[in-house]
Amino acid sequence: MDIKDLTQITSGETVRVVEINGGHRFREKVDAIGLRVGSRIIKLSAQILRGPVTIKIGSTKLAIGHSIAKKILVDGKNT
Amino acid sequence: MKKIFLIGNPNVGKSALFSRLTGVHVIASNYPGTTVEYSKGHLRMNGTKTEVIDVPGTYSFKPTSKAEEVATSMMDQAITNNDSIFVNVIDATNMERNLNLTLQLLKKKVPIIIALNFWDETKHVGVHIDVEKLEKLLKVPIISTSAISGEGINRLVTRLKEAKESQFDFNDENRWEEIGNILSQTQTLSHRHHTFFERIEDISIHPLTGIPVAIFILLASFTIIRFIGESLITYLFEPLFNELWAPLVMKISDLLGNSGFLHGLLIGKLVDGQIEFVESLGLLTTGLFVPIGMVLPYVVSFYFALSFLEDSGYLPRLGVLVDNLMHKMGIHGLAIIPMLLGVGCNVPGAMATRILETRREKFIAATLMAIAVPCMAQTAMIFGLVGSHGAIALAAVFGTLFLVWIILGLILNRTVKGESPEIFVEIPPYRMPYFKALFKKLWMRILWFLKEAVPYVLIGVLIVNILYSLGIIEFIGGLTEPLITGIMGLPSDAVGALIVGFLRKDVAVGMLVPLDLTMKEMIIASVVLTMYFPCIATFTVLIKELNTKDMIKASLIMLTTTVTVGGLLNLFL
Repeated sequence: MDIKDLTQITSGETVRVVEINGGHRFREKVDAIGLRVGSRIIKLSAQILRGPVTIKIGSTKLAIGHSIAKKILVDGKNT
Repeated sequence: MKKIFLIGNPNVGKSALFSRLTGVHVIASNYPGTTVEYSKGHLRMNGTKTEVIDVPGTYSFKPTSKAEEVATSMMDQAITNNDSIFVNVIDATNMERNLNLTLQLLKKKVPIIIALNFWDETKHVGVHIDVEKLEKLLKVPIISTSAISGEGINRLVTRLKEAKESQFDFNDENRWEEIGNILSQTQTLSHRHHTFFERIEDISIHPLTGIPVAIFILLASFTIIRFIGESLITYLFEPLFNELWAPLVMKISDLLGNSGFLHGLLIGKLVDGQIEFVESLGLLTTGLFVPIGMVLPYVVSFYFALSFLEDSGYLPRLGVLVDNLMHKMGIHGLAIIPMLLGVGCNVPGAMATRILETRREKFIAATLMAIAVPCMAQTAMIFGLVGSHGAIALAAVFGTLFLVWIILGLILNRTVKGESPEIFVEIPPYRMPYFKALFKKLWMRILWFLKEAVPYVLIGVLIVNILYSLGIIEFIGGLTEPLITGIMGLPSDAVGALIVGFLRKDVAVGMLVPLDLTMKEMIIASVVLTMYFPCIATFTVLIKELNTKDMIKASLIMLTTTVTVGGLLNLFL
C-alpha cells in the first residue's frame, strides 16, 4: 500500500480510493456521484497554487477544490 | 391523466426534454444546475392537458444543495399526493452514476418510466445498451431518446400511460453492487479511438495549456461578437433608423411645429435642425434608438457567442481555471458563469447567481457583478463616452473596473460572514451545440432584454424631460455639488446623467455628450456611472434573488466604492 491524498499523486495516474475523510454529509454527497471507497479514479489535472483537482470516476468528470481533494485518500500501488 | 415529473441527475437533458414535451421554452445549457427552481408546462395529448414539471437535477434523495432540496421536497409531496408519474431521465453514456438515483426512485414505489437520453451519443462513445433486457430487469418501461434532436420523444409520449411501479427487489445497502450487476448484464463497452472532443478536453483543463486556450477562446469570442454586432448595425439597424425611421420622425417633428412641450417629449432637441438619435432625448428618437439601435445588436451577438460556449460545455472548464483567483474572492470558479452572463445584461446574470449555494456566495457574486461587471448597455455607454479618445481611455475605464472587481472581492471575502464551499462540480462532456435549441435560447434572452430595456429607457427619457422642465435636475445638481464636483471632479451638470442612470445607463450618454467633458472627466463619468447602481431592472431582480436587507447592504457598498474610486481617479489621473 502506498497511501496518499489526491493532491499528492501526479496527473494521469489511476488509483483506488481507500478512505474518504470528512463528515457524514460530505461522504453522502460524494457517494451519490459514485466516489466511494473502492472506486477506481483517474486524476486528470491539478491547477497551480493549490487550485482545484479534476478527476474521472467511470464516465463522470469532476472538479473538486484543493482541500476536498485532501480528504480523499488513495492507494497508488493498487489499481 | 396525472401530473408528470421529470426527474434525474443534473445535466442529463431534463430541460431539453421539458421543452420538447410542453413547447414551453426554458433555458437549457450544458452545465449542471441550470434549473434551480422548477418549471411547469403542459403536455397536450389526445385533447387532454397534463401538467409537466421540470425538477432540478439531483444525484440522490439525500439533498446536499438548494437544487437538490427543491427536487427532494417536490418528490415527497408528489408521492404523498399519489397523483403523479415520474419520467426518470438518464444519461445513457453514464449509466452507473445515473442508475444510483434510478434505484433509489424504484424503491419509492411510484409509477415510473425511464427515458434513456443522449441515445445518439452512445454510439460515438462506444456504449451499447440492451434496452429490452434492462426493461426486464428493472421492470419499468424504458425508451431511448435524444431530447435535443427530438428522437424518441413521440414514443415516450405514447408509452407514458405504461408507467408503473417497479417490482424490482434489491437490498438498498448493496445499491452500488446491484448497479454493477445490472450493467454487467445489459451494457457492453467497446474500445474506440479518442474522439476530437476528448483530445481538446485534455488541453483545456491542464494549467499549462488551459490558460492559453482560455485566452484564445475569449479573444475569438470577442472578435465574433464585434463582427456580428457591427454587421447588424451597418446592414440592418443603421439603414432602418436612418433611411426609414428618421424621415418619419422628421415629418412628425414638422407636424408638431419643431418645438413645444409635446415636441420636446416625443422628438426632443433638434441639433442643427436635425434629429440626433443619441442626444435629442425624445421618446421616439433616443428612447427607441438607444435600446434597439445601439445596445440590442451587441446583446444579440454577445448572447449568440455565450450560448455557444454554454452549450459546448466549455464554461465549467473555464470555471476550473479561474477557481483559484475567485476562491480568494469568496466565490468559487463556477461564479464565472453569472459574471459572463452579466456582461450581456445584468438581469440574467443576477438570476444565474442561483447556481451558487450559500447566501454569502450569492451576495458577493451579485454585489461584484452589479458594481464592476459592465452590461452591454454600460459598455455601449462607455464606448459612446470615451471611445473617441482611443484605446488608452477605454483601457483606463475597463482596467479600473477589473481592478475594482478583484480588490472589492478580496475585501468582501474578508468581511462578509458565512461560508463559501469549495468548488465541487461535475464537468460535462464537450458537445456540439444544437443550433435550433441555441437559437431558441438566444431568442428568449433577446425578448428578456427588450422587455427589461425598452420600457425603462422610455420611462427614463420621460422622467428626464419632466425633471428638466421643472428645474429639479439643476436643484439636485446644486445640492450634490460637493460630492460630485468636490470629490469626483465632475461638473454639476453631470448630475442629470447620474439621475437617469438609476433607470438606464445607456440614456445617460446622450446627456453627457453635449457637456463637452475632458478625457479625464469622461473616464471618471464612465466608471462612476457603471458602478454606483446597476439599473432599476437589475435592482428589482436582485431584491428577489438576495433579500431586502442584503440588497441595502449591497447598495451601501456600491455607493461607498463609487465615491472612493471616483475620488481616487480624480486625484491620480
